[in-house]
Amino acid sequence: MQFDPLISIRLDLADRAYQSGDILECEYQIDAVESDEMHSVEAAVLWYTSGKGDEDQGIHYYQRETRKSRHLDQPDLRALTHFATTLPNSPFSYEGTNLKIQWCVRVRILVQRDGQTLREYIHDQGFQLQRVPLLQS
Amino acid sequence: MDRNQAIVGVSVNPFETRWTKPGQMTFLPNGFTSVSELAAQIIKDTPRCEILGEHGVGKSSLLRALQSQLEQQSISNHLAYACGEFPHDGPPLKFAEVKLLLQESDVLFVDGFEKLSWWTRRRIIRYAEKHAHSLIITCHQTQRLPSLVQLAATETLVLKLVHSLQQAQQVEQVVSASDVRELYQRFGNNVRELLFACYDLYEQRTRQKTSSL
Amino acid sequence: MNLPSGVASWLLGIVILSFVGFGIQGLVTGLLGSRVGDGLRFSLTQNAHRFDLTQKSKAARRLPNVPIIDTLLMSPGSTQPWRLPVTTGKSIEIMSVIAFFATWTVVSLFLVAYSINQYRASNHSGWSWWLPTLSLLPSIGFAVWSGRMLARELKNQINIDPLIVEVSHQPIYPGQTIDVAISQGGALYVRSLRLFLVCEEVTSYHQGTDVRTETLEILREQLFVQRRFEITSKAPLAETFTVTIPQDAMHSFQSNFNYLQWRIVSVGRYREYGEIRRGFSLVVHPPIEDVDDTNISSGDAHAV
Repeated sequence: MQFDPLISIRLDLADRAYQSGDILECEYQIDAVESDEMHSVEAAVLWYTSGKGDEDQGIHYYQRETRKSRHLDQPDLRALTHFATTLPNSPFSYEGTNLKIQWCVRVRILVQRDGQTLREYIHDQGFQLQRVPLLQS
Repeated sequence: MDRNQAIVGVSVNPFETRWTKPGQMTFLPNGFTSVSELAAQIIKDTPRCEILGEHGVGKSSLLRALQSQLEQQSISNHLAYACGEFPHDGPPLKFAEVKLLLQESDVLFVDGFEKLSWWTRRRIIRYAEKHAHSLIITCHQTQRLPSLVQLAATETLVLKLVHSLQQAQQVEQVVSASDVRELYQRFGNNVRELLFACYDLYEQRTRQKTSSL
Repeated sequence: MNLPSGVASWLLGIVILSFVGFGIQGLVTGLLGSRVGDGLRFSLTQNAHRFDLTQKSKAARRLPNVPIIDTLLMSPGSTQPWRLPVTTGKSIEIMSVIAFFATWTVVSLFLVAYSINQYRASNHSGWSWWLPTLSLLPSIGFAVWSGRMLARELKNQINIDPLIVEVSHQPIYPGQTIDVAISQGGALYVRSLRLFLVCEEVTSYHQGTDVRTETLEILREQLFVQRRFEITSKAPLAETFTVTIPQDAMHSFQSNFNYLQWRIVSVGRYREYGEIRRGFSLVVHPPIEDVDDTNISSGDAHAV
């Protein structure tokens, strides 16, 4: 029996409530997978909409690493990795009725295990960017 | 694709379009359609056939389920979208692309086949017939291919669907079975509109509950 | 008229170059909107501003997904600094009716000319009258019917001066109070005129042939109401009042399929013209201090 890879994401603020212009610091690492099974790792800070309409998405920060692009002194894609980004002025997190706007850090990995095709695994860690509750009219 | 989410303090409505869009929901057999039987039939017969049904009855979900079954049996297959994967409004598939996909895979699924032009559809079907390729398409109206299965939204199926959507998001069954029966009377086979109505109902009730606390 | 060969060549070259320009623009737009991977799209959009000759991309980078107020195209007001653009009206309907009317008028005229020509050519003998009659009657009927509809629509548009809404500030911020001036001229008896501050969530869902857009009003606040009064050339409507945006209001937001928009909506009931509704868009910006528009990110991932 094989376990699915475990993606762990940690943000610097415990309550994960950020303001515009704050620096978001993030660490992530991958477990339960062998180093040579890892094909690539992508990390992004993005917002997406949900609700009754089609999903929209906006990427604020993005980075991608493959086995080839990794530093020679630390080739293991699973290792604890850190990045930081200044959060933008908009859009704010929003909890509406038909429309919600949510921010998250998303880590996506591509894994190839013996005799299998490439599989992707994604883990999101949500956070708030100056969350705005629903207006009461 | 496996996705896990840890959302901070945001109430999740299990009927949001990200959970209900084509191909996202697990296909629910409705008593006479077994995915493994259909997959076995495809492997045995190498057919050119169609899956018929109205909006939201599970055509795309069935394609994904069939794809998964074939992959387990190491049958090479490809799922193509007539107008782009998401949100289904990209440039339409060209005949040359489909021809290549038919040559490269044992089974080709085409979702939303009728969105292609009449001429492209005719060419694809003729090519598949001439070269004995397996082609499974989804459509709302028949393309005059033999029917693999015709999906319809029965009340039982819709009850299961609404229940499973709420269960998947680990929320209370806010939309009850009696609500679903009433909505089914109103919307019938139009599962898409029924799910939108469930969205509104869920949203309304959770907000009422929150404001009364 | 024969153009000198040099001029003709230049004209041809300009036409060809303009098509090439359109094509390149379309290609870039297509690339940006295509289903490229997230990484490539992110990289393209980050570098796109280098080729932007206006300040729009700078504003867009400072406030992503917030509607930009184009100061070059915004109308200045007469009593307040900004005149709000109308977002709803019947312009599209009127254009459609005009096109329909023009089409059937042209068709009718052509059929009349053809019929007369055929009558003359046959020297009054053996002229077949039934074909022109059968085709003339419906086409003239369509033209007359659409002409009457057009006249009715234009009567509303021409006889009623549009309501003008001007504001003291644009953009607006949550918690801010602004002055709003409304004015309307003409000769009208107004049964009632009400203005509302409205916030709407607009969501679109597309799945092939299944397309629906839903607009949900999440806030409606009455700003102004006046009943049973007359507007004349000597006494036009001119009123000023204040509007306060709620402190915890969400800013205006726009993306491909989802919008959150703020508007002032007027609902006027006029004797002889019935009810007329108009919307005037407001832009609410997030309540942030001016920050440097260059994003600071340390993106070189390194193992800890």
